[in-house]
This record gives sequence, structure tokens and C-alpha cells, in this order.
Amino acid sequence: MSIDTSRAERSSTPERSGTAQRSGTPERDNTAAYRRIVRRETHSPRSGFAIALAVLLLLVAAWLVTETVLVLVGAPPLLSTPGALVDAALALPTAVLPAALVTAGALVAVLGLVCVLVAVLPGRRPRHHGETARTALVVDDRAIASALARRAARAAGIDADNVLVSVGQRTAAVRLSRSSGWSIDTDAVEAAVANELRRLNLSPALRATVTVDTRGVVGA
Amino acid sequence: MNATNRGLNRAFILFVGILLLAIGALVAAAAAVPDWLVAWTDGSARAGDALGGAIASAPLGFTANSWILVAGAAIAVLVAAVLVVFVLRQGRGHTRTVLRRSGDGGEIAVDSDVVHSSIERALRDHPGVASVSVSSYRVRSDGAVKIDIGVRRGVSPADVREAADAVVADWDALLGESLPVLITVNAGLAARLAKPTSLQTTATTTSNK
Repeated sequence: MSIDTSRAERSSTPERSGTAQRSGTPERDNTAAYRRIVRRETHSPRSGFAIALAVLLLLVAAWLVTETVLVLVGAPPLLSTPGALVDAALALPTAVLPAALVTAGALVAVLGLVCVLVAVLPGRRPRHHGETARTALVVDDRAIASALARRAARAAGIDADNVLVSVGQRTAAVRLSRSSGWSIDTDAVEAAVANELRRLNLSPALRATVTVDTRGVVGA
Repeated sequence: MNATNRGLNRAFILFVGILLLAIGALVAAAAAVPDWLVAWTDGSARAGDALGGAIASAPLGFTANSWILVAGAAIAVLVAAVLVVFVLRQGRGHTRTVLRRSGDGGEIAVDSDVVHSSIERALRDHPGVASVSVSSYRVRSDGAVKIDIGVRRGVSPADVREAADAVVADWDALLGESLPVLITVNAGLAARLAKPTSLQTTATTTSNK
């Protein structure tokens, strides 16, 4: 399948030429669908945060309704009546020390800032996507690290447990710990890791750095 | 791949965030500047008087309470209802039918269970695969298939993808249509606890353990 890069980014109308191609070639243009799917798989939906926030507000709303009902039936309040709450809010500038108000206001503002950042930041997940061909591929960073560790260990001739790989968004750091008295062919390890990265062909592309722990571990 | 409205999630979080940020900043600023604190105190007193007047002029029957109290509770109920709908609409988007086509001879619908079980069975025997789970979703009004693969320790995702692509190619030939297929490769808990496999297509030597 050819990937038409001229296709509009984030097009809201999939310009698929007639969805029902019943017969003939199984080729059809999934480019727009894949772009959407891959983006959704590599970025957080912010569902957890949104649900937590909604549940919190829900509890407050439910509590306010409960207090109102208790006032209407003449029962004692759970914590405070709505009237008392309004009075307290109005008395805020006189009843509370300014220093305490500043602190409380700053705290609330920081909470708000956190919410704004969560809403605005891309929220990338620790995943990379491979080349989209017939299928789309999204790989967890741990799986990438595990595969790189295996290749590095094999090239170095050491056990996979002595290789530590951490995969970031654009870098893969490969650290090998060497048994004392043994040398490691760093070039071979670099070549093996680069070869594996080439096969995976990930985006965003990963650049590998290979370091050998010089301390040397006895019996490792 | 589900149908969560991510824009709405972010808009909701942004709305609450801006609200908190504005309230917090205003309270802190008003308390910090003496002149503003005086203005706030005056404004608060005036607002209290106005609210008191409004409550007194809106009695609820013969009780000592006001309609305003009931209106406030009604708004709270409305907000709560909207929030419940918002929470319940998260996720979803699974579909029971991956493909539906009607032609001269009638209609054909491919049940997602058929696709799921056969893809899972085909991939489960791959030496690098620790677990497979297939699900289907609705993406832009069409079916899309998601293949979640947990790989064994050290297995190259590229190898697993090759195997999965081969299975998908078989399905393409069978359906006569190439549905969007997403392959996800994870190293889950089971994969991390598992022993490294000694079989890998690109391997020239096996692990020295």
C-alpha cells in the first residue's frame, strides 16, 4: 500500500473513495484510519484524570444536594448547611488571616495549573510506532529495551541479565556490565543494536548509546 | 483505539483547571494587596446583602426556606447528571461485527469472534509470543482489528510483526478486503518473568545461559 503524504493532516472527513469495494483487490486506503489509530495508541486519552476529576466534583455536588434536602426536611446537617457555607464564603476576607488566604489561593492556583498542563501537554505514552504498511505497529518501550538487550548481550557474549537498556523518546541507552578479565567488543555491540533498531524502524527514531561498565563484576 | 472523546476529556480538565487557577490567583492576589482586600471585604458584604434580599423575596411556601436554595440544589443535580454521563461515556467503541457488506445475493456480516479466535490461535504457537489478545473497534464507521501481543523476553518486535502480518494477509485473502489492523507489542509481566527463548529467526547463536 502506498502512503499518500499529500493527504490532509487530521482530516475530519475521510476521503475514502467509496467504502464498499466488494470485489477485486483487497487494497484500500487505511492511511487516515492508521494515522488516527497510531496517534491514539501513543498518546494518553487523559481518561483517568478526567474521571477522577469528574468523580470528585460529583461527590461535592451530591453532598450539596444532600445538605439541601436535609435543610428542607428540617434534619440536622451532615457537615454544614448550604446557608452556613455561603456565609462562610462571604466572611472569608474578614474571618481568615490574609497570609492564610494567600497560601490557600496559591495552592488552589497550583492545582489549577496542574490541570491546565495535563489538558494541554501531549501526554506521550512510553511507546514507539513502527512503519505503517499493511498493518500499523505500536511497540511498548519495554519490549524495545528487551529486544535491544538480547541483541547487545549476544554480540558481547555476556548474559542478558548483565545488560541494562533504558529506552527514552529519542534515545536508547545500552549499559553492559563486564566480568573482570573479559573484554567486550563495543563496536560489535553497537553494530548489533543499530541493526536491530534499523529493523524496527521506529518513530520517533531512537539513537543508541553503548557504554561498558568499567568496574568489572566478578563472577557475573 | 476505543471511542473515548479525548478532546472532551481535555476540554473538561482545561475548564476545571482554568477555573481553579483563576479563583486561586484572585484570592491570593486580593489577600496580598491591602487595598484589594478592603475592596473584597466591601464587595463581599454587598453581595451578602443582595443575596439576603433575594432570599427574603423568594420564599418557598410557608417554610423558612427560599426557592433559591431549591434552585441551587437543582443545578447541583443537573451538574451531577452531566458528570455521570461524562464518566460512563469513557471507553466503549467495541464492535461485534468487523465487516458488513451487502451485494446482489444478500448481506454478509463477519462476526468479530471469528476473527479474534482464529488470529489468536494462529499466533499463540509462535515461539516468541507469550500472549495474544484480539479485539475489534469501530474506527470512522468501519471495523478495525487490534492485535495485542505480549512477547517473551528478548524477542524482537520485528519478528513478531512479521508473523502477525502473515496471519493478516491470510485474512485479507479470505475477506477480500483489508481492514485496518493495529499490532501492539508489549513486554508484560508474564513476558518479563518468562525465560528468554532460545529461538529467534535472526539469531546465529543462542543465549549463553
